[in-house]
Amino acid sequence: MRLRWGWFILPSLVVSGVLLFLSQAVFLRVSFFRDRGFGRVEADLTLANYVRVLTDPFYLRSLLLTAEVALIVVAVSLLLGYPAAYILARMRSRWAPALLAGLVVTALVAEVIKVLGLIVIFSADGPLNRFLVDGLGLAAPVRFLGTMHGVVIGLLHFTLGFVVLLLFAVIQTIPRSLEEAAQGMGAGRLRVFWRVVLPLSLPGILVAALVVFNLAMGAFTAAALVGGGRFLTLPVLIERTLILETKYAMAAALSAVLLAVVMLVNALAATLLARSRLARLQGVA
Amino acid sequence: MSRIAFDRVVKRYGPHAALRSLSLDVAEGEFLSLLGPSGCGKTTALRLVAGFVTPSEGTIAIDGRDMAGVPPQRRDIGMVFQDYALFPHLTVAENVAFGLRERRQRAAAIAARVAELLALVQLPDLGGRYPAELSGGQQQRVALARALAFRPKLLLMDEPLGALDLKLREHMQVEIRRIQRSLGITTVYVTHDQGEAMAMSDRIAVMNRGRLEQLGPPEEIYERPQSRFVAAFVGKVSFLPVRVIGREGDHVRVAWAGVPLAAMPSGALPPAGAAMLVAVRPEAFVLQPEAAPADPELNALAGLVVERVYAGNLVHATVRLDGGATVVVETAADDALARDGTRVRVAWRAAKTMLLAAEDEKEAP
Repeated sequence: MRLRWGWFILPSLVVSGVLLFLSQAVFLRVSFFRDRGFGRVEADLTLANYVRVLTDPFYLRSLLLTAEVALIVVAVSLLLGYPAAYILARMRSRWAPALLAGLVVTALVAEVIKVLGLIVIFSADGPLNRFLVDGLGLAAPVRFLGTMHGVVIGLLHFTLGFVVLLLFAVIQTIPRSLEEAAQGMGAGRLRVFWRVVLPLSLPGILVAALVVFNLAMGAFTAAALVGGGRFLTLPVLIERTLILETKYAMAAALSAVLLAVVMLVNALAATLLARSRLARLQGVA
Repeated sequence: MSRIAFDRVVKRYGPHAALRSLSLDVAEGEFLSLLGPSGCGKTTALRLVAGFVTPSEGTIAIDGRDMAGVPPQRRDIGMVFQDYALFPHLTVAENVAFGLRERRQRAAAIAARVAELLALVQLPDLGGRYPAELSGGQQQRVALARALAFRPKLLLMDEPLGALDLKLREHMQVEIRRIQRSLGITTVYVTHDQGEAMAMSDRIAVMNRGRLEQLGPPEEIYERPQSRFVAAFVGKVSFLPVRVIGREGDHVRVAWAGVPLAAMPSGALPPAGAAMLVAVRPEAFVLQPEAAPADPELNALAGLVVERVYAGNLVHATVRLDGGATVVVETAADDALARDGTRVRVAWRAAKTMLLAAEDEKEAP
């Protein structure tokens, strides 16, 4: 009798199994052959693509750049998202649900739409630069498109909503009475945060960091559009290799490396989380 | 000098008044309970002392000093929360040490004080455990130790025993009282359990709808309630609506369903003809055979036993009086009269007959 409900998992299991694992398997297989151009590959198995990805400074630089951008986005997302999530979680106002709903909606708006908006705002004669030059008297417009800070802002636009939602859910589980107890025993606001709220939200912070890292490592839209083709993160490079150069095998190898790096980081984080007594107490791990 | 002084304190949440003009003094070393149903304002009153909420009107002074603008962390108050609020990421010892560390005491002094407190609450060996590894009763003790560790001026407790089962609760009542006495710390204790309040308190403040209904020692609250609400909330009671006839010696003559009764007035003598309420505790009633000679010193009413509830050491018999009302009589478990369908006479002394206003004062807008 218990099994009956279990069967309902089957359709989604089949769909995701076929779509994910089968396509990944085909993809991975291709990465072990040499490109002949125009999407065709040679017949002999080889590790040449991987050797090239892991030795060619061009590819390594792209990988490092991608990781660097992702880490910056993680740090800034957490710094900006945590206070917002805390205030939302502790807010008693009737506006709190509306703010939260707004957050969910904006987080789920298609990335292309959001990034296009950013491009309009950031362009050399866009409203932001007009304000900076005409309003604040800056000598020249600030470049956002094709720069690191531009791409970081584009990615933040994408990740911040998720971070606030995730942290909100975690902070909400910390009873307010814990903060009051700490305060009653002589701790000021900062001390309460440092000794109680922060340690108790650490597992949630780690999870949020991981989600943002994964999103940022794989983010294509913001990097491609705000980067304007001059900012080559790995996802952008994969797309170029695949569409412009039609080197399917090379693109597959690049994807495999990206996937491996992301999975490695996730596995590390999972181990860290599993070791944390607190996470076990809170049922996160 | 009183340690805590509420002076006409009002707390409003929007249009709703959680507390309407509370004036109350808590004496040095006193154990005072705020007793009342949920929503009566007792927790609000406690949180006002702690500083987690600020009064809309009026002042709260601790040791004569107005607390307006003083944040909770500077009030030097130990507090035990209903959910204990133990820090799950800290060990028992670290929890107890929390307030001491905030006061920058030296590690050796902290360790000594933590050991002392854990001994006081009889958990000397559990310092290394985490709260999640303790039973509810043990968590309660840790919460108490933590609240006392930094030698606060006051101890505030918000329904600290609410989550425990009956046996443990009774044990902890004695335990908390023992610790409170040994330290002589001024304590305000919030509870909705009248038995708990009576067992533990020096004085009880009965609250209802944001107001103080009555303040006094447990015996006074139980034996001389000033209102219908207090009589009904604290202990069991039977009410009989009566009309005042007039004064007679030190008591008041009243009539219920044409039968004259003697009652003790709780305030000024009401005018003849006034509608009042007689209140009698179950243990004040005695069951007598209907045919037995009547004692002129006692109030007596005839009736029929309609229900008997056995409670081990005693029984509660519900008697339907011939005049229409029902009363609950507490008597010995082997009382042969306390049987369903038995005709009886219910008798009680005038001194145990409380006379109260028929209606509690209407709520002021």
